[in-house]
Amino acid sequence: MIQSNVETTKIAQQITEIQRDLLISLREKGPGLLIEMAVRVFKFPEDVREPIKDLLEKGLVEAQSVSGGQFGGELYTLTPEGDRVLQVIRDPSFKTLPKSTPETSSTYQQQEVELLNKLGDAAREKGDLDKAVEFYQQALEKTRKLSSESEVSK
Amino acid sequence: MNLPAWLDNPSVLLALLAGSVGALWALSEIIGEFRAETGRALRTWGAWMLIIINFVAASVIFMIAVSLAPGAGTWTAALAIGIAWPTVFRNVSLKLSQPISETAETGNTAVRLEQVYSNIQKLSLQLINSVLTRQRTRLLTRTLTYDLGDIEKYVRRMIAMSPQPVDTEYIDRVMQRPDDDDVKKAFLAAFLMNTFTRSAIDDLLKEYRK
Repeated sequence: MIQSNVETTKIAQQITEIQRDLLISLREKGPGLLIEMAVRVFKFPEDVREPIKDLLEKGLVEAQSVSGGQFGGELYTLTPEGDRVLQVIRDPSFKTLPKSTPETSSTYQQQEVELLNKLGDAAREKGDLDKAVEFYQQALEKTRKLSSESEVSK
Repeated sequence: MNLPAWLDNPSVLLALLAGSVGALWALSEIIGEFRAETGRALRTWGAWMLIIINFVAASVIFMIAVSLAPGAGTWTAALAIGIAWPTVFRNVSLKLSQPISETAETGNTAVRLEQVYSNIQKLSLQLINSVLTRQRTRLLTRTLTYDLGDIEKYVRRMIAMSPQPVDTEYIDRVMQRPDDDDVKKAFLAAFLMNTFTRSAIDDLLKEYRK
């Protein structure tokens, strides 16, 4: 039982903000089709498809085949495990929602850009302009990559 | 007034009491699962199947308890069995046959009633879900025959009148999408149904009746 609680907490820590909202909407408003799940969290189907797929893989949500016609043939419902995870997330002692992986990776990349800029500054102060330019160029490339990634995630 | 003979039997009345408490359990399960659509959920076969099974199971368990221990034929025992029967039921295993060997796991030869109940419960919830989903998609489909402008106007009016703060930004985003009008209508109708209630859609359909 303790093992199971630990596992539930582990899963709860992997839940992103949108997934948390989706689980809450299932608890509060009941089962829903893809389009319903999307509008409940003020998003569109293409935004929630992947988070729902991940919830399905984690066993927090299950899909039931229904005749939804043009609105989709799968009805998503909260599983007992999903309900337990939601209870953990809603617990006041569980405050820190982990950042999703892309955000964490972007934080590391920003730190890397700052470091490259500092190295460039140090090289310039020493009079090694070629080395400084090299560091600045690397920082510029990282910044471009970072901004293109954030555009895609939007 | 002449009551039917079986009603003269106090055990039968107490079994009905235990059954009623059991039925209340099922009712609370349905309310918990379909809190936004309790009324509609209760008007489905699936809901009644779950309620009746809970009623019958609690009554039968009470009758078994009375036959095993005649002293259990009291109204307090009936209430207690009505309340506690799911716990008892879920912890009982039905032994179907002798294990092949003594070391064989009993799990292979026994059916846990918990699993049986869980399957019945799942089936009932699926039946309820199917009916409610069909009803909702029918409403969404009907909304598609209305003008996008009328639907947008109605949704914005509902948001303005709502006591809960609802951001209109989502409606702007729907309207700015490059999708065709039917897709936008579906988003607006689904938003209306899920942010407010299904009655909001019913009112929209009445107000702009064609």
